[in-house]
Amino acid sequence: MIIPLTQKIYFFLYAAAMAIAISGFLLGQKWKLLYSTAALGAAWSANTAYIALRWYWAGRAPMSNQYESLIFLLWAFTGIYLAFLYYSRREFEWLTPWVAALALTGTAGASLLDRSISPLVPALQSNWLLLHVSTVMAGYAGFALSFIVGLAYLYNGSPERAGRRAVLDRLMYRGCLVGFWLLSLGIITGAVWANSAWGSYWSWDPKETWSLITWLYYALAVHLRRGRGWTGVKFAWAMIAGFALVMFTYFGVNYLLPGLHSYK
Amino acid sequence: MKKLSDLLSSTRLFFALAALLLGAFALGGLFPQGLAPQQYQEMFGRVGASLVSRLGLHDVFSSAWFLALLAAAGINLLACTASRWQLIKTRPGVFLVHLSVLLLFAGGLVRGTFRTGGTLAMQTGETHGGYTLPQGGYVPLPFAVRLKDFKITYWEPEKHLVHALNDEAGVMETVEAEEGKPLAFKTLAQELKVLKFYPNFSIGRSGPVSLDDSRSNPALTLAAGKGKQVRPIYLFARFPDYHGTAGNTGVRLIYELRGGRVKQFESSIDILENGSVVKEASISVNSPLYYKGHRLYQSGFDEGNPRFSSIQVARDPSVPLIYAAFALLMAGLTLAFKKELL
Repeated sequence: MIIPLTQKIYFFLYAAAMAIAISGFLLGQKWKLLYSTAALGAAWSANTAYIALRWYWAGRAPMSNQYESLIFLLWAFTGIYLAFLYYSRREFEWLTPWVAALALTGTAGASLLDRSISPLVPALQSNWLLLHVSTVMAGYAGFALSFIVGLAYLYNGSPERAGRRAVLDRLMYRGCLVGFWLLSLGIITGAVWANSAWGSYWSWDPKETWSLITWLYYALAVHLRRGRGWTGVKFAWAMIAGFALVMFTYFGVNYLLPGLHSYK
Repeated sequence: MKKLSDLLSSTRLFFALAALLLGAFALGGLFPQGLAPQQYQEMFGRVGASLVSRLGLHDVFSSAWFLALLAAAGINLLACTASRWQLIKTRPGVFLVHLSVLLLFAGGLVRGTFRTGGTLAMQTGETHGGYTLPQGGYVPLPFAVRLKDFKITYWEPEKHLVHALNDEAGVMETVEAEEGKPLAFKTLAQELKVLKFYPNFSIGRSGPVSLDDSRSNPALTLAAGKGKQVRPIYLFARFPDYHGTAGNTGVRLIYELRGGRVKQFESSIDILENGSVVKEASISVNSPLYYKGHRLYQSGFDEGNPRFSSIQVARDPSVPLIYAAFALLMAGLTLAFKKELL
């Protein structure tokens, strides 16, 4: 009873964060952004409570299927944004409705997936499940942030918004670096786990292959930025295309290319 | 010489090779790998299947052109790292990351050259001194493995379900069967009682028997009717069309043995050297045994044969190298990104 209620609460709060900010823009009341961010923080707290309750109820980390991993991804996405916002002293608070919109869309999409709590198959009964899935999902969350910031960068294209774009460019890159660091750790924990469960740290399973493609893509993006000056619009497009790749690795592979990771 | 060195260590070559690798990975990730030639023929016709075979598309990640591409990327990275060795002082994180990827390449080479692995397909009580390779062939082990016991545990017990159906309505009702208890169908007037469950049904000298506990031929006997009118009904899970009519009602009874979801499967093994037991161990999924450079993994079972256990054996000397590369990679990335993130 309390678990679905918590889910409804954070869904409502994500929607409220977006609605408050939009009403603020329409009515010229910029102070409302603070309330929007507060609603986003409350939504993140409720999302945290939902994950904790599900963890307690299931007696294991809630990371065993597509639904549970997506909820964790959205939690990490909002959390990374709020952390960056806090440490930047709310330098880019006007991004809050963008973040809330993506979190809301993801939560709505997650509700279409199977939400039942099932016992774990033998292969997933390992502490590596928590380490591997959480790091990969948090990595995807970093890329999701660089994607949404990339969209915001392209939206704020006019010359008089140069200051805002400089902030966005820096945030886009930081989101990419967080995502890359975490995805690297996620692939490594997955390889160590695979070696312990299947006897091989790499099997060219479709999920492994597409994770490697994603990793190499972002490695290239970082090199292009550092070595070839790909900043601004070019990097924004690279982050948008990169996130499409992330989505294929995350969803597409599960449904189109069955393999060792076919747990859904 | 200088020109060649410049070319090999150029970032332009890196971008080109990285793009080619991305394409190759995507090809291997999308194109069905490791199928039988017949299956490619069904998909692409005879000419297409021949092309698939010639280009190595059925096994992209072991094909000569892919390995050549990897080798080129490795040489490029080595040349880049060597020509920019000063990075170790100015940007140690970046240097470590490149070094770690080189170690990964080296690990891959060691793995490709020295890794061996295969399967021990065992029945309880058997002792094997070697394993079978996936492509056929037998590799002896420096020790022997005896399977003492094998057990499968389930999240919930198996269920015996009996479905009542007729040609018009399909499945009318389903009830769960328990030995010695009546089958409580609401839609059937006839009285039915469950007599006995036979995991592996057969006819012995004195009548029906179960050969063993394996679920090779699960059957259920029912008593239909009352008093002197009682007649037995035999229901077979694997042969639903055999017997199973409930009187002259036109209703058929179908028996389904629904297995519980597997929680874990575990082999108790002895390691033997010169005929003596030197180690006793229990292996299950995610809990392998490491002995004398070999890892033994619990990999499979046969629901029809509770004595059968499939154990994977692997010997991979590249693992320490790969794990060292992983540690270097994370240390390097942390150092390289620290300033930009904090």
